Amino acid sequence: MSKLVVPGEIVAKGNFRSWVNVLKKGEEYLSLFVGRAEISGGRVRVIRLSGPYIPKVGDFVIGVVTDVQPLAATLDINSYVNGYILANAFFKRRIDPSKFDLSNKVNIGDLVAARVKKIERGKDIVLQPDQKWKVEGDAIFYISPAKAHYLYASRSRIPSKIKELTGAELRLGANGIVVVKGDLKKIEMVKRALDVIESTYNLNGLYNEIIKVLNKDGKSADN
Amino acid sequence: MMPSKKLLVSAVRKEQILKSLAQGKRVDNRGLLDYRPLTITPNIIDKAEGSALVKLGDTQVIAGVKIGVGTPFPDTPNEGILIVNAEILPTASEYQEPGPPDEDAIELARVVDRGIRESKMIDFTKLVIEPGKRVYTVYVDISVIGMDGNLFDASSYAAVVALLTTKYYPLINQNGTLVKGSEKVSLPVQDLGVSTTFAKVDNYIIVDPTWEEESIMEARLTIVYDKSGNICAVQKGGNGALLVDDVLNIIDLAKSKSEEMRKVLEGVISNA
Repeated sequence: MSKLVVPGEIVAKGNFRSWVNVLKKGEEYLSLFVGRAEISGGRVRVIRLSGPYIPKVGDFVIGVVTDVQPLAATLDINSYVNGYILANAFFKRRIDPSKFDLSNKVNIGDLVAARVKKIERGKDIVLQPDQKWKVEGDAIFYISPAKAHYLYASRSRIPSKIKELTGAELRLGANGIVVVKGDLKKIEMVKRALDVIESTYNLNGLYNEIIKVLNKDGKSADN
Repeated sequence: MMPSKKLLVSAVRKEQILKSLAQGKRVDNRGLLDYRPLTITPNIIDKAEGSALVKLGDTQVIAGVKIGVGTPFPDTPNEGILIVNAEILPTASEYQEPGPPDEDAIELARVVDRGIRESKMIDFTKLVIEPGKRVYTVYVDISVIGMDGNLFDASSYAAVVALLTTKYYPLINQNGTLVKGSEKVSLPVQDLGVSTTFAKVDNYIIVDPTWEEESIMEARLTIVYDKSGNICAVQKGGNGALLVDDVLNIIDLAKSKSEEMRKVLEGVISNA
């Protein structure tokens, strides 16, 4: 059973073993976000469908470098705070800033893939660069971070299926940034798949819907 | 205090935008000279004498008009007063900080003000209660609630529609005392200045730039045309330069675009 809910709306009443994205108030469970409520097997949860990216430790994100200082680079990670990566993390060892120049590694405007390492309230969050931290591509798209996070966190089959059906290289950040590498036709197909994700609220039939759209795209392109 | 953020378009996104422009379209599938979908809702605020909500793509602006009474300026004793204020609310974007209006908001207010004033849209000589002593003051307050580029046009349309739908109780001089009239009247409108904004991005001239396009543009030019096809206000923005040919090209494009947008605005007013 699932239904659309808004913040403050009563999702369920009673006693549940676990709850996610809801506030328990007495016997009532109130939604904290705009999303789809699911109640099954003694648990109640709301899958967020909108809102900003809320970082969690371990998330894989893609950020835009907005500033490079001798000891750290600042990234816009499409969230309410910036992220930063220490120069040591890029060089994978402790460095002397007078001898090593971080701007040789990254520049303003570069895309960097990283994992969220540490979150402190009121401060920029600390990121750890990924093994393949330099993100290159031909197009960048933004999808709702709430949906991106869901697709990413549930280890969804959707990103790999999009890659398979379009032939494009894809990097998806939990913060809603999608970087695509491929020719124009591949980029257009990926965009159409992302449009499907953005336009639907029911994530259950999403996998099949995307396959349907991309197969149709492939056929019409061949004709 | 939370560290501030600023919009910076990544190198990949910039390349994507430029490639798209080279193919004659924008990343949002618009043509180079197409506006984003525009919706205008007049009379959105009950307590204001005039108001309008404008949605231009993801850019959203609310304008409200209040009519007050004030003392005329010494150099224009027989004219009413126009005061335009603009504010970009912190909720308009994650990059907007709380606090007093910054230079962008001040520029926005000045450009909207200039478009209204120089197009002679309102006959301020008819807004005099007692010559040299008391005149009507028209306050236009603009609040940007969604920020995705081209604030000038969105704010100008919101202000213009709010003014055109304004209804207020006039003050009548009865034996030396001012009394409130019994029926609401409209402002003495005599023209309609229509603003169009163009940006130059890597040698391409585009209309209605988004925020991303504005952040990589060389320069921006806003032109306001009146009903008779006269240019009545111009504002150049951005750090780069515009060639003479670019300016002449934009002037021609702005004329046809302003006619297009004038029909939209007049349609909204006639249905209000």
